[in-house]
Amino acid sequence: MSEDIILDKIAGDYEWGFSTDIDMDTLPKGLNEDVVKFISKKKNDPTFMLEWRLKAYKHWLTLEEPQWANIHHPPIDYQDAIYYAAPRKENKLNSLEDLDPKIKETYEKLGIPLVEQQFLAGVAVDAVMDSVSVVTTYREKLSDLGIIFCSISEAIKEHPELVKKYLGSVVPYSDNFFAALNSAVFSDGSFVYIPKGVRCPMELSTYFRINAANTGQFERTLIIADEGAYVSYLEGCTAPMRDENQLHAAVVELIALDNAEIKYSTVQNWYPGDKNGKGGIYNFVTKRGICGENAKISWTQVETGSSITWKYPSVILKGDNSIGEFYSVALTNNYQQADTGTKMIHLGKNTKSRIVSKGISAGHSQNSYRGLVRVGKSADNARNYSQCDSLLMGDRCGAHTFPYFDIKNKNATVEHEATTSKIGEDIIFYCGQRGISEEDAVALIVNGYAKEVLNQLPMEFAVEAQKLLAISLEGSVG
Amino acid sequence: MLSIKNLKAKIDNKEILKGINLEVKPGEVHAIMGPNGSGKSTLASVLTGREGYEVTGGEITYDGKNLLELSAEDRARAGIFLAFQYPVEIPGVSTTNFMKTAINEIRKSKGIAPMSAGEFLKRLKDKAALVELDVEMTKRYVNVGFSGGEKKRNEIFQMAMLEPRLGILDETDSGLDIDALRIVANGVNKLRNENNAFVVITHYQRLLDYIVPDFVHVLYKGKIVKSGGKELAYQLEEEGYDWIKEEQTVK
Amino acid sequence: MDLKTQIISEYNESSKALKNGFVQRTEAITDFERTGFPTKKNEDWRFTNINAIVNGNFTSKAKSVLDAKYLDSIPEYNFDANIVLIHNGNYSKEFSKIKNPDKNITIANLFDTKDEIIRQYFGKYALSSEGGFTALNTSMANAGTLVHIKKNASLEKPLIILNITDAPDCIANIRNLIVLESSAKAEVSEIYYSKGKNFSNTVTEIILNENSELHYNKIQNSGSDAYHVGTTRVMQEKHSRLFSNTITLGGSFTRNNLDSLINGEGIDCYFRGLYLVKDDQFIDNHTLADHAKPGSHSNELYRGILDESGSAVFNGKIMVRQDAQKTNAYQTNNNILLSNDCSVNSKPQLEIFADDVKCSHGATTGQIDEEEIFYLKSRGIGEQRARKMLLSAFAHSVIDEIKNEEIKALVSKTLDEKLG
Repeated sequence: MSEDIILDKIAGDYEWGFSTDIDMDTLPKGLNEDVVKFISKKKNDPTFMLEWRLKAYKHWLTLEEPQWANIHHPPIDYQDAIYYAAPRKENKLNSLEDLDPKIKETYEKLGIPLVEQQFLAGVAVDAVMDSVSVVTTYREKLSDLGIIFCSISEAIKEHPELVKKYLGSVVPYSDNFFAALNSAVFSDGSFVYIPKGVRCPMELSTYFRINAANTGQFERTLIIADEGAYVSYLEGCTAPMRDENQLHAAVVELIALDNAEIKYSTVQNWYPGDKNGKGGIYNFVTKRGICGENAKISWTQVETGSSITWKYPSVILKGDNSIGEFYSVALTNNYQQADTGTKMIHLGKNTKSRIVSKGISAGHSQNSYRGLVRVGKSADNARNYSQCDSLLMGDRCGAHTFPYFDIKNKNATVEHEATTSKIGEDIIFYCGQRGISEEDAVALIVNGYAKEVLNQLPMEFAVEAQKLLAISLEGSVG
Repeated sequence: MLSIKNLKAKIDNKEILKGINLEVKPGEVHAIMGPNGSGKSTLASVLTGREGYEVTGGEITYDGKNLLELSAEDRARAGIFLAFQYPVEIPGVSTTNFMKTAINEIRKSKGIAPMSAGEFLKRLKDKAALVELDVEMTKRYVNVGFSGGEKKRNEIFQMAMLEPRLGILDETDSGLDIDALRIVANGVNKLRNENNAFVVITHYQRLLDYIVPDFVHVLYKGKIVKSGGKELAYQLEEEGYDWIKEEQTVK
Repeated sequence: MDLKTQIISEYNESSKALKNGFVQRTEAITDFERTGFPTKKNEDWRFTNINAIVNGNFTSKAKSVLDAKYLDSIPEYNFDANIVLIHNGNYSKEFSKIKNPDKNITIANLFDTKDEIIRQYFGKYALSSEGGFTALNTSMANAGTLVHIKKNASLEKPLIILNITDAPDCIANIRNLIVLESSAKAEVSEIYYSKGKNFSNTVTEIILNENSELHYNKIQNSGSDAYHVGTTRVMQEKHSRLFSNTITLGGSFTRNNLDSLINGEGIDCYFRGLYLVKDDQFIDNHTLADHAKPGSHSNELYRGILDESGSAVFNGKIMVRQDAQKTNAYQTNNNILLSNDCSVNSKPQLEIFADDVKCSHGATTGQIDEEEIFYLKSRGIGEQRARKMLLSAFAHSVIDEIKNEEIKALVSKTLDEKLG
């Protein structure tokens, strides 16, 4: 499929670098117990949420930022960030026509089609402007099937029993430094519940966007596929250009109960910083899913943005016969740094996992794959296959592979392969001799290289992902 | 069509071409022969715009245009094709996709709409048959895992697909057994017509048994030191290059 | 008293008696005092628990008492080779058998020899600042071997450095320095043999100058209560060739560090390893092929068989520095697990800073192929026998690379016995 898409030529600089002037309801900089309480109050949290946030905050105070990743940045001053910003208009809209025209314009520039055709395209959008859910479409159609697709703050109010049961069940607030921070101060995010035996008829989609200067972004996503349910969820993000580094620490939890399947796809192109490494998003994300019996969780990610990416979408294969998959393309250019990969934790019998990671490094960037495959004692007949490839462009970038294997069962079969290759001037000349320009040659090769991952994405995302890869690599050879 | 006048070129500050003169007209096949290191492949590289070569004198005109001002891809789009001596491997890109991209890029440069899928597929099948290439091979990644002979045949296949006006074959015969050589040569012969021209660079005469040239030029130490008809190739095959070298020393 | 404190006090007691000539000792003990032993927080020791060493009540004060009859019972002692005998961390001149054939070859006690080469290379590639065990070794080692082969010379008979440790609770700090000048050639094997509870801590520095060739074996065949930490640091100049085989069949705890700095073009660097762990043995191999210059080749194959409650760590790193274009580097780690109580941690790493390189690594963990077992059984071979044959074949792809026939035969035999 992706082979047939002819790439558009797109201008070189960050195309989506603009910011919208909307009155913000913003807290002063800094984080303390009162800030946590303020956010909780602002969100009309029930007591159990406030308590949970405060526990997370207290735990966070005891933690230190992790240092083991292959990334380098000046120390982050957590007291110098703003932990809450929301667009003024919080009241829900009856129709899209009532949407703040500026927000609408923003989304149009982003290419999010918030119009009726979208319905035909089968996409429901839960658009997040900074931290508050602005508009949700097609919820009624979904609710006919018993599907809940709403902002997490709504879910907390309207479905507290589900939130209480599952929030923090896969990523507890004590999991790591960034997860604790997120648990304390998250302002919004998405919530999905697919009831027993229901196959969600459309791709669910959310577009994230960082919009206010110095605003920390702490999204919280919780997706539950009940027994035998199926859902495909798309997450995409672009951010406006900013000079100061912005912190993003999201948490995503997926719960696939027995016989359920969740497919989670991400195209991430937060602002990566400029050619000299100035600015850009720090993206420290915790994503994890848990599988019941015969369940399947599949992560697909195309990562081209952020100045720093720290992200390991993982699957706990708890139920027998469950399946975990991770497909990733991580592209770094200029001074970007990415330390990304996955963890596949095999606990149940006959569990299977597959890891396909394609790293692309250009410019002065550093790109690391870090993955763990753990086979527990009880995981008889566990199978894992990992393929980690690196593509280098230019001689000032680095590609690193750090796979960890921790095997405690004799019936496990674990295989790992990794290769490194490059796009050199000889290939560029060969393509040029066939009439293909350097830009198109790079796009052609990179898309071929990443095809196995891109093919996992729904069609419309695959197109955007291909464009992103091409844009991100312009002028990288030679 | 192609006119090379007193062409001089350097690589790594070493002068390799020291004043080449060559006129190629539509319908002609020119063979360029010469001992190792005489500058044959450098000539092919300079004609097609490979980086790293510095043209220090002379000129190349192609259809009245200054070829040296064009980028590698613009030369290709103007109809110059090089069959590489060492074709590169491009993992992840199938030959089909590669050719489709190339054809449509060339068409775009001329303001022609992309080729329809049906037309492309028909051309693919026809041209594969022309060079006796299994169509299945075109689904594989460009040259990845190909034998030396398969790579050379793939070059000729690509030439057939792109229908160039000027085909340059850089030692296409080296590393080929006699059967493969025959197939490659037949492919070239079928592509010959009154509107196109070929420059065949070779070290050995045997290719010229199959692709019969109109002119043979001997390149030695960066200059064409002798030109003649096909009989010159036979003479070189029988007597080697020593007599040329001696002649040059005497001069 | 914990081991660190004890070592420092033993150093202060005995430093005057330690053979000197090495200014590094004082520096090293300061480093050791500062860093102590590594902890799990250190990425290189993340899966390696050294509590048994740190809490092991070891002492460096053991003496050497030997007799010929005892030595005759050790097969390696009678191999057709030059033998250096290190007993409980002491160099036994009496029982070493060295036939220095010509003046171009020196084999001697590193701590009892005047050779300018020592000052040039000692402590240059294994730095005490890099870790507690090297610092401990540098401060306390009082015995070890200098091998110095001059230009164009070749060591005719192989050298075996036979390390016997049998005094109870003994720490043997052993330090070797192997220098091959240009176009020199040698075969050197470190063999470890122990009885009872003890701890050997070895540092070997190897310098391979231009076009030299070294076959280097490290064979660990100690008793079940032996603790061993060994660091081998190699510096390779252009066109040099290293063929190393690290075979670990015994011991309670073994940590092998093997690093080569590939510092020129046209270098071949082969790392091969085999480990067999049973009972509650622990074996940890850390390797680094560090490509600092263009146009060289490294190739690594480590294979492990794990049974009972044994556990193993493999951490192999290929580093390709920015200048090291046209590097070819390959690495493979294969493990076979035979029980559900054993475990393996494998971490094959690529760190690549150059673009024009060919690098690959692969790691597998699995079982014996049941199809193959069935095939052998269908030919009338019993199940046990069939399993053993396949395991042996798996191991032999490493063993067969050992050039020394006597060592190869002994390793084969030991493996055979251990596979039962």
